Amino acid sequence: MSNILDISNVNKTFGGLHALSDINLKVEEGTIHAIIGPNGAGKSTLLNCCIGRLIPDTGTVTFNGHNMVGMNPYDINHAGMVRVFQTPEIFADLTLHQNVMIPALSKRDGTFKFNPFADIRAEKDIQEQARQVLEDIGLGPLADHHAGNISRGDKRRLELAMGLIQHPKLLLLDEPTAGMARHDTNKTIELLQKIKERGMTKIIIEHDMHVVFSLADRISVLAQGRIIATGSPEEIKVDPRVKEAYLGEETEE
Amino acid sequence: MQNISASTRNRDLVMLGIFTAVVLTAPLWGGLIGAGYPDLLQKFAIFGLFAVGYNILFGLTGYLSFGHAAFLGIGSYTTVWSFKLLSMNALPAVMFSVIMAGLFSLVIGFLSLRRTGIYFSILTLAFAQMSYNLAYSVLTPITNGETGLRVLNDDPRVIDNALGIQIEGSPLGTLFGMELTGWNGFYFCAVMLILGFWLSIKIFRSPFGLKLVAIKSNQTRMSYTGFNTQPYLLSAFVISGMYAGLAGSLMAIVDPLAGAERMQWTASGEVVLMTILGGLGTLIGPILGAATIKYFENIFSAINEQVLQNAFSFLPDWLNSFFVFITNPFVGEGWHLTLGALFMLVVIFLPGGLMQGVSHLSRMIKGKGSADADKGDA
Amino acid sequence: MDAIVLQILNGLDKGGAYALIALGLTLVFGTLGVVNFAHGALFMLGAFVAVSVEGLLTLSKRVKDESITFFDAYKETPYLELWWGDTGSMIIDYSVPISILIAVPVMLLIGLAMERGLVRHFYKRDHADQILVTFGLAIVIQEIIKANFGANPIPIGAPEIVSGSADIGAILGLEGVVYPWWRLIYLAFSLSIIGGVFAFLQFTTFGMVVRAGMHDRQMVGLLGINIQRRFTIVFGLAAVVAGLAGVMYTPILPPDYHMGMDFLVLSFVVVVVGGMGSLGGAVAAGFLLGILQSFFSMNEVKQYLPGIDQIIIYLIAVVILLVRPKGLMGRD
Repeated sequence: MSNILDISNVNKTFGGLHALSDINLKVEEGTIHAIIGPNGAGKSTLLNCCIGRLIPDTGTVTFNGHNMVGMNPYDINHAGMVRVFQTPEIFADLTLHQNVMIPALSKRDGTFKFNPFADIRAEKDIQEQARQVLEDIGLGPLADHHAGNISRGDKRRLELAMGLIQHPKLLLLDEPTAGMARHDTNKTIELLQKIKERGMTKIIIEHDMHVVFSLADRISVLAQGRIIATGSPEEIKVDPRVKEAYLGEETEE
Repeated sequence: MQNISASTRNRDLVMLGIFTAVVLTAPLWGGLIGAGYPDLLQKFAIFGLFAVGYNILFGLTGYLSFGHAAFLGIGSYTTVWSFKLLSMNALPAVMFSVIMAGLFSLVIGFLSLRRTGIYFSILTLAFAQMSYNLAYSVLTPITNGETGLRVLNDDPRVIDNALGIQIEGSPLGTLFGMELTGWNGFYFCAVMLILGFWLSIKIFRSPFGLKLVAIKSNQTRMSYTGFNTQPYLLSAFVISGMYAGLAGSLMAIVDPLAGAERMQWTASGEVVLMTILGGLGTLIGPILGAATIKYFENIFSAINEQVLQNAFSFLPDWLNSFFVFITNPFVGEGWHLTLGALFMLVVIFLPGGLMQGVSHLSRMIKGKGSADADKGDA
Repeated sequence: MDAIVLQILNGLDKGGAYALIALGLTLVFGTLGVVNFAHGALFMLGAFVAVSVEGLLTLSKRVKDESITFFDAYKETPYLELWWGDTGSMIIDYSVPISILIAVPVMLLIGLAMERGLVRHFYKRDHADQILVTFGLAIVIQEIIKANFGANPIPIGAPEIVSGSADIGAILGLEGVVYPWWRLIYLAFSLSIIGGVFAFLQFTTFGMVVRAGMHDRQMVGLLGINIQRRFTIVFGLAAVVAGLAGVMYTPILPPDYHMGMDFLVLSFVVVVVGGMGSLGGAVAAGFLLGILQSFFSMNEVKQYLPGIDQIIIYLIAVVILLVRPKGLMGRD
């Protein structure tokens, strides 16, 4: 199995703050790789460096053999790396159905396509695809509601749907269960396990250890901008450095 | 944006059909509301067209441009030059005007869209003022500055002379021999309006249109979803610029004169008001807004103190004077004051414009409570 | 050489007006986050305070002209002159300085009213809505002034004592450079107001809170400081600054109803060139663009590039916005 993502020698400082120091991380294709660590460790910063929101000071982010550093966000998306946002950044003025059609259209049309004479209502394949994904994720009944009016939990699921419909090679999930009740968390775990079979690689940033140990094939631990340990869940469970970083706490939400 | 799936293609055809019928029969029913003469109806069509185009930019993407009056002016100037150099025929005039306006909006749009939000608006403002100043005092050989550009009897008119077509009397735009004045002029404008409306329906219902609305909703997200937003925004800008050029061309066709004051950034303010008054982001809204503004402009501008006094004559003298006193500033020359006040009122109280009012009413009538229910789409 | 000095002085004058207006705009945008398209109207209102004061002071009645003896002649004589003779004339002569005193409370009231009545309801709404509603307000104000004062510019004179020109050349060792006293006063005046505003922001607690609010509005609010009242006062301050700039400018440029819009566009351009959110940038850019505009209207320059003075400011703004998006000193 090859490494689909190879983060090499990445550093990022903001003013005097070393947000990321000498990050080296390899993610195997087809696996679920979790990144955990205390608050402020730099997890979101790392994610942002991957998808083009931030540019690292040094190092490369090699995805499928190509260095993503410096590429436009939309090109990174088309290369196959898709991020699911922690704070839902959905299109509040559109319906859920339309929200999911947009990423599908991106996949089909590329970064720019001038088609003012096509009729979106006649695009049966896109329409069906979108409805199907919403059904799969359990949002079917809400398809024609405005995305701004649904609950926060539903917005998170919509985010996930929008990511999945693009059939990414690598899906980056930023705390997918943050703030969720136990019931929703379990449903999300189920969903992510179902998708596991499809061979999609996933990187999950998480705080909830229950989620992490249910899903992850490999875990990397980030603390104060450094990766202090990478290994299988069993290895990480007993690693003393990890315990120290968390001050002995295993958070169970 | 309204729920697209609720509005089927049949509904769109019906809407287009009704619209066409209403517009083409306007000379018949216009008189009933005191709008039964060609000049005014021409204005409805011309500014309706301008507003429809402007709505494609501001309504769909949310980008507020102050520069579109400049494209209107370019349309007018190009048409007059076409009349002077080529032929009094309106078709080449329209064609060249749209192309010129398109070119200018391509350049100005490309530069202005390097920035977003308020910076974009100020850039368009700067370009508008630049164009106005250029037209007014710098490029006077082309624009004839303050005086305005007119068509003269002894202009070259290469095509016309080759075909042996002469002008009798004062120059007027023609369509293969038929003078485009009066009702003919109106019908020419009306056909353009219907075509422009049809095109806007197409854009609204297309994937392209949906992407524009998504950009307004969350531009950064679009970028991370894989869209390069620049060409989309530029396309919308150029399209709306071409609509403006067409409107400017029509203005000069029915009245062959082009002046610089049309290009001032404050003139752009009028089209913004028309669009938001009617209903930003709706299909019919901008046309409704334009017609409403022009209709009331026509009425208010004609009222003077005497008329007011007569209107309030049933009141005792002191009350009469009082009411005349408070209404007088808003009529006649005070139309701009009314316009400014209307601007404020719409933005403060009815940001969704007349169409918002219409949909409130229809919801009340239908008795539906949920805001998520199927919304009629216009 | 003397032509150049003259142009610089001309430019500094206009630049002073731009700088003052831009200063107010930036204060409001930086602290309140509001784009105020009615700011130019405040400048104009200040000028019309001067017009009104002058009108008030010169209220006249028809009086027999004693100096004409062989027939009965009448002339319009101001009441003040009738009552107080020479002192009365002097008061009328000093109408502009008197207007300054009156303008401060008047503009403050107008500014406070504008903020409480309209602007504060638009803090949460997006910039487009703010622009549109203040644009509408600017039109309303402009039209009211036009209705009351007519469409023509109304010349207002500076006090007699400063109506002449100063021989600047003498100081600089150049021949024949004379410059009107009043314009020099205007320059000194604008610099002192700018200095006053900066001192206020730098050395008072209120100013410190405002500066903190410009940096991070949320934070200040979270600290429990009643930022709302301070916002209102800042808005009033900006209105006073704009109004005073307008009052003092009347002897230089006869006020008319659309001067507000004219100066507004240029002032926004100045703010953006200087860097939105930067007070120093707004001031620097104001003077800079004033001088540039002055230079490009010199005949020598106009020979090669006709009409360049009309568009130079916009050209520069476009170039700067594209090349250095933050403006010269901005940090937004």
